[in-house]
Amino acid sequence: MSYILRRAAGMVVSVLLVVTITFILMQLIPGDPASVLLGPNATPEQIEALKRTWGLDRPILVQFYKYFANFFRGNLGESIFFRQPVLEIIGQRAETSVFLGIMALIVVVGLGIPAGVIAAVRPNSWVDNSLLLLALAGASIPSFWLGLMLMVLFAGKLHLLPSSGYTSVIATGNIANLKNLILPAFALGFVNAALVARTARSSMLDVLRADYITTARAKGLRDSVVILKHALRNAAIPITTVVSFTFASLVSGAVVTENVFALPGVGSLIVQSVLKRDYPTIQGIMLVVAVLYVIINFITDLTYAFLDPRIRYR
Amino acid sequence: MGVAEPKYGGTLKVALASEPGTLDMQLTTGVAASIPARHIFEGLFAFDENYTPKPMLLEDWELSADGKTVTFYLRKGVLFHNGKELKAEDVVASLERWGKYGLTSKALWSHVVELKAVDDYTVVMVLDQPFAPLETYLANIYGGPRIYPKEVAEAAGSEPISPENYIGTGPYKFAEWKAGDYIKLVRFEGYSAREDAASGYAGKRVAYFDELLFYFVPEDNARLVGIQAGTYDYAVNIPNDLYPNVEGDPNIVPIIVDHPPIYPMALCNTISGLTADVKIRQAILAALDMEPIMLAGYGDPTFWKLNGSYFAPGIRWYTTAGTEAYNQANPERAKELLKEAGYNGEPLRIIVAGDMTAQYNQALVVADQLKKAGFNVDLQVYDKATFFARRNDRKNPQWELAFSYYYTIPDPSLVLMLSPTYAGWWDTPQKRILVEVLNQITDFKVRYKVWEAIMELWYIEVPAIKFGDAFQLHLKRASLKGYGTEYINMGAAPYFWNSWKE
Amino acid sequence: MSFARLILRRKALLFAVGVLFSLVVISIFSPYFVPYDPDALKVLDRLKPPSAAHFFGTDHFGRDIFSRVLVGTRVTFILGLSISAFALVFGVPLGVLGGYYDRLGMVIMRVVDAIMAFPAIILALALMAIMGKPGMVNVIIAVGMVWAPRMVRVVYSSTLSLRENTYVEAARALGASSGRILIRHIAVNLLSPVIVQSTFTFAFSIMEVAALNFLGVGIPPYVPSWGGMMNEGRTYIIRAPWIIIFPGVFLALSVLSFNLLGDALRDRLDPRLRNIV
Repeated sequence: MSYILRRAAGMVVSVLLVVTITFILMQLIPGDPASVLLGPNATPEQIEALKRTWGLDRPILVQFYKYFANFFRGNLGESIFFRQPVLEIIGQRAETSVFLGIMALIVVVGLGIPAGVIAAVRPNSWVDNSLLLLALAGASIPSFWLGLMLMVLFAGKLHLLPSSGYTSVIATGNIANLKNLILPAFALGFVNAALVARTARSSMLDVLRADYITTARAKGLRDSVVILKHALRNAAIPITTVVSFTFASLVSGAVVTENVFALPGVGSLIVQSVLKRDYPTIQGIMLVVAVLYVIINFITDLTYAFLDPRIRYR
Repeated sequence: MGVAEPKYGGTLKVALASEPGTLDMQLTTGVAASIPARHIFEGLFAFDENYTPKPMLLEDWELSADGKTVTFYLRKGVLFHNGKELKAEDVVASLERWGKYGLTSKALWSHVVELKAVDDYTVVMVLDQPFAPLETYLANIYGGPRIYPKEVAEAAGSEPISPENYIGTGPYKFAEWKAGDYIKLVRFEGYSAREDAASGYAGKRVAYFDELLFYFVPEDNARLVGIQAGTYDYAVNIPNDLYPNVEGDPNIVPIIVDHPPIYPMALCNTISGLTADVKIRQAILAALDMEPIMLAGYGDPTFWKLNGSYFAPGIRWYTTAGTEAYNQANPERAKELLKEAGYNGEPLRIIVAGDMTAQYNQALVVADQLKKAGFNVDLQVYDKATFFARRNDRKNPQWELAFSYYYTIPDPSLVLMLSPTYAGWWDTPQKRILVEVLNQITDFKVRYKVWEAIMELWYIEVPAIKFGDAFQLHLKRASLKGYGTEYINMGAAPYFWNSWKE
Repeated sequence: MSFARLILRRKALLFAVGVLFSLVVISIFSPYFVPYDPDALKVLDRLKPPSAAHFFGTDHFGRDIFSRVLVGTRVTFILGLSISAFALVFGVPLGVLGGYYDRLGMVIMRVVDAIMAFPAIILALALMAIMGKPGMVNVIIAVGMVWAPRMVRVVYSSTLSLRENTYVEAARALGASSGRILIRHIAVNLLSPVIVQSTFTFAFSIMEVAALNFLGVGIPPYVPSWGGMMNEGRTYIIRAPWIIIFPGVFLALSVLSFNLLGDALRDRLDPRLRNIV
């Protein structure tokens, strides 16, 4: 119990750290939203006037203090460019990213784990070798390349799937809109599926050779029981680690995928915001991402403890 | 072949290459903003297909004999999207806001002595001296004064107006801006169209489509595949090199936007650093071979022309004055000039934005050519925001050459390099005199001579180096039709009133 | 291990070592042997498909892709190895200490969590912008800062598991000092997860450097690198796919070889602990 409390405190610290680091980074980066908005032909006076209106000319500590004061009142501020509350914008884009992430995760886990397990169960067969090769190839392909190839083939030539864009499922109630996320989810997830497959395979292989497995088999337990009950359970830790890494890289990887497929998600929002120096939006997104991230890590760590009772968090 | 029968209704889907920051046309000169925004807002004048300004919201206008008093007579019964009628007070408020904060207003506004509404439909503007390019300034689609309702204009200051205030008089009204996704416009049923024939941006505008959707699709290949797949009806800025991929497709019509072209250039820092010495700038100019530079930037020669004059041929300001110095491709001469200037191998800093692909490609070629001519080149690549910050830093400029490109603005007085506060900061006495004259004389023939003199001076003082005229490639589905037998396009920034889908 | 498996492993290992060795040789000697100057811009020859004159074709500047890929090996390897080294040097000590000492571990992991919350590209972009002028060193630091926390995490979780092992308890019971335990028992057994993580770092960091190029920052433009070439060739993926394919193949081969090497090393070093990634 005390572990949970201490951990919760730690999570809050992490989140606050993220927000502070974001603020500092933004101050250090050259350029500012006024110059970006007014464009290359603006005069210095015009830029200064706009900065004054937005309060960007006030001392850093004052800006920092104002930000936190608002933050604790639940107000994340308004996007400089979109003139909408940051939370609202994130909310609008969240749907795309959440669905994309879930579908990519399905690809990762749905392709990766079975592939790894099958390869492990039949080591050195042609199945194993071809899966291994495929996995290694997958880990070295840039996701934008895979995405573009898929787009050109399935959308451009075969006209089977939409090429880009995404219309909200929630707003229209039309589940078929998820079709737009199939190609991006695959491009995004394939690389990580390869990683998971490799990890699953090697950990399964090790476990399958262990004494207690031989014993179980000798006892006459069916293979499927052996695999599922004993082997997977013990191979799960490294798999969990890789899957949690996958989540982190899904957020990053989504940046490129969203760009390629013109998906209105959070990944492209944050890149755009950084490039445009839209400070309130950047800070808002980092906050949300940090909270999510910290929660996922916490769950991952709890899963470790659950899977391996030897790991006790003192 | 007869004119296709126009059809009412339907939705038009346009793929833009980037998302604008705001649709407040007075405060932005960007194309991404201008394309959707021009359907919403209108100005006192608009350009016809020859880039001649024609009255838009005006019934008529007159200039006093001394050229200092302008009287505008507004059309009657023109409605804003909120149902209000356009009145003189709206014009006055909009012009004043533009004068104070607009990006392209300075040259004109510094001469405005008085601006007032004489009655509901008449506005009088008094200047302290004649201002020749008046109508051009007012017609300009990149940062010119669009007319907003009085309440909106008065409340707006240096900050861009927010979406709920996008109220204009145009054929389409603002419906929705879904961040990162699209901008939606719907037909304005109360639009008051002009009676005269449509030509360019001027004349009668009919909104055939019910809805216009402008999507933001940054990936070039996605815009291309989207047109092929029919996801979009019109796509802007397709990389010229991808042209062969759509040749021969009966559903796709490529539109080569050559009228008018864009002008890729490198600005020279004239006040500090290596390039403060005019001999160095002349050396740079001498060394450059423009053909490979244009090839690298814009691909197949179908998409560009060599031209050293600021304006492209076909525009009435075109002249060959000064262009003997253009495209010398003479590294030997460059080396001589460097010796004369006493060059000692100091680094020549070139800055460019990595995500402005054509400029980046050109910068690579230029860097290579300059190296072969004896320069010690330091090529620095930044993201756009950092690049502009560095380029515009006047107090401590850290560059010698900055790469950019410019759209045609059809009056020489709007040429940015003529302003001493614009990056490059060209400000010699000869230039100042010529520009003053240019702005005061109203007779075109005389102004043309002055402009020729400026171009001669340009090629002696080299404030910037022009590489050529570049064309862009847009694609449209064959089912998209416009007035006349040809789909009329007005350069890099198309419009979609007077068009329909069959 | 079955005999067949042993032979296969041997063959794979031979392949991996062979490829890596050739790449190292290429990276050292290629500038002297390539048919064309990799930076020579011959714009009039642009976008030519592979032929006898240009084995891998030319890019949009007319540069010979074959020469660029070979010369790019050096930069790519230096980048990949430096970034991996950076992650190692910072990641391993922090991870081990954090895994072994709880209090320290909490602090370290909270900071690591905070840094890892930033999407890789964003963090690298921000750091590059702050450090000012783009350049190899700055790129290595920026991308290294993205990968070091991941290494910390891997080492941390392995250490957590390792310290519960009976032989560690036994060593402690016998009075061994913490330092001794850390080095002799724990660190030695970290080799395999660290090696595996490093191979991933190598591959992904190269992609990330390429992504930075895409956003307009990164290594100076006329330095050939596989990632840079793939990014520059993005627009031409339909028109001139050879610009991306060849550097991509080389990258895949390197990653493949590093992974095979990593696997083999893992097998040799301690087969019992391969259940920790």
